[in-house]
Amino acid sequence: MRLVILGGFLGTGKTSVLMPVARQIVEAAGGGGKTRVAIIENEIGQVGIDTAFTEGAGFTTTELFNGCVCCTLASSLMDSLCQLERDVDPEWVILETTGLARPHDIAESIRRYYDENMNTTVCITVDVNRWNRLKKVVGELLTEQIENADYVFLNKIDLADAETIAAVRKDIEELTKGKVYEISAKADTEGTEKICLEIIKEIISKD
Amino acid sequence: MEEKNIREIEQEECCCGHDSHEHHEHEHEHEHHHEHEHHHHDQEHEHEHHHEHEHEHHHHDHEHEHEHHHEHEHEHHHHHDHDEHCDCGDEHHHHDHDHEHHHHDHGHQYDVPGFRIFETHDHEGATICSFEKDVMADVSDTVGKMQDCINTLEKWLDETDATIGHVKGYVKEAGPVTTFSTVGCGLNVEKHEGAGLAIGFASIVFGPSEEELKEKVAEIFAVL
Repeated sequence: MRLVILGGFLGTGKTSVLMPVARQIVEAAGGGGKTRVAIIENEIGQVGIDTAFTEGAGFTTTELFNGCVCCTLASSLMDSLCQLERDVDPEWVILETTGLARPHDIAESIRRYYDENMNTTVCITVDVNRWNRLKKVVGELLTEQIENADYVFLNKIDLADAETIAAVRKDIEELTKGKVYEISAKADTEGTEKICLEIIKEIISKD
Repeated sequence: MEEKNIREIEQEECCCGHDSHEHHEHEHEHEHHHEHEHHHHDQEHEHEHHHEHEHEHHHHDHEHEHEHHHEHEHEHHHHHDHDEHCDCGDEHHHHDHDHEHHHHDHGHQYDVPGFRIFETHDHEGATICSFEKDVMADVSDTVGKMQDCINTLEKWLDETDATIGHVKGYVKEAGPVTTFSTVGCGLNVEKHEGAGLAIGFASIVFGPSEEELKEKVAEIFAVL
């Protein structure tokens, strides 16, 4: 079972990137829907909103609400993985974290308590338009989210000027050794899907 | 999969910065606890909640319209040596020798008329308020009202110098449902048109207290 942890601060476009990632996993396997992909949606509030975006897409979805899987719901995440493995036996699990989560901590917990050899990848989304403001308010959290990422999506570039994008990219590249991509998950779905396919193929090559 | 005490995970993966905690569940060997005193200031009254233990809640008289309940979803118990610096950010007392301190995430559920779920809690410095409600109303009218409500909330957050993490929601129409029924003498298939709307909302913001956010959200979204 391969795990893609899709993290990033609140409102950075995690849910918008989720579907392209899921679709390209299926595409990378040759299409046809035979690849078993499960999604775990974690939301900080008791009321789940993101599932309204993802439901009906044809993937098994598990919901973990009212807490964060990097801390308060850590045991629930392990339970969910066990249950998915038992009931669905997915080849891929995509975990969309809350915007307040520290995905590296989640990856470490999974390696430590679930499967130390699991092919685990951390992808982080960043809103280039809000980066400068948010880093003043929650800089420590943003840094921790990004510094151990395997891939960083600089999202919403269609709403930013070239100078802003370049400045944010410079900041991000100083924080992480992960690969950095510029995307617009909503305005350029084709470009986003292409990048996701490239990433999925890289993840498969790590098996 | 290696079998381990999963409960330990929550305790060990604490954000407080210490990675060498001993964890105790339901043990209070030392007289040490967080001060969980919540002062809710309403116009008409003030009440206090003292939490000394997971199962010890003292709720004083509530005279206001919203009954609310505390849910302790999670507990972190940490063991520190005396004088060991703790930077978890919570208030706690250091007693002789070793001590424990507990991290609680408090969820507050409110019985707000017209709402099926109405809750607040805090996490990582953010204040979260979410609700669900069902209404029998015209969808376009409700979508318009929802937009107005969110704009009003956004304006209030801006005026109070709050930082919006994410404010999001949905209005979902009930779709048609086809039901199947048999008692052994023929299958009865009926199609029913959907009726009603489900509304979901969540706001995750930095700045307002839970009480402030709850009051404002309840006030603004009461029009739905």
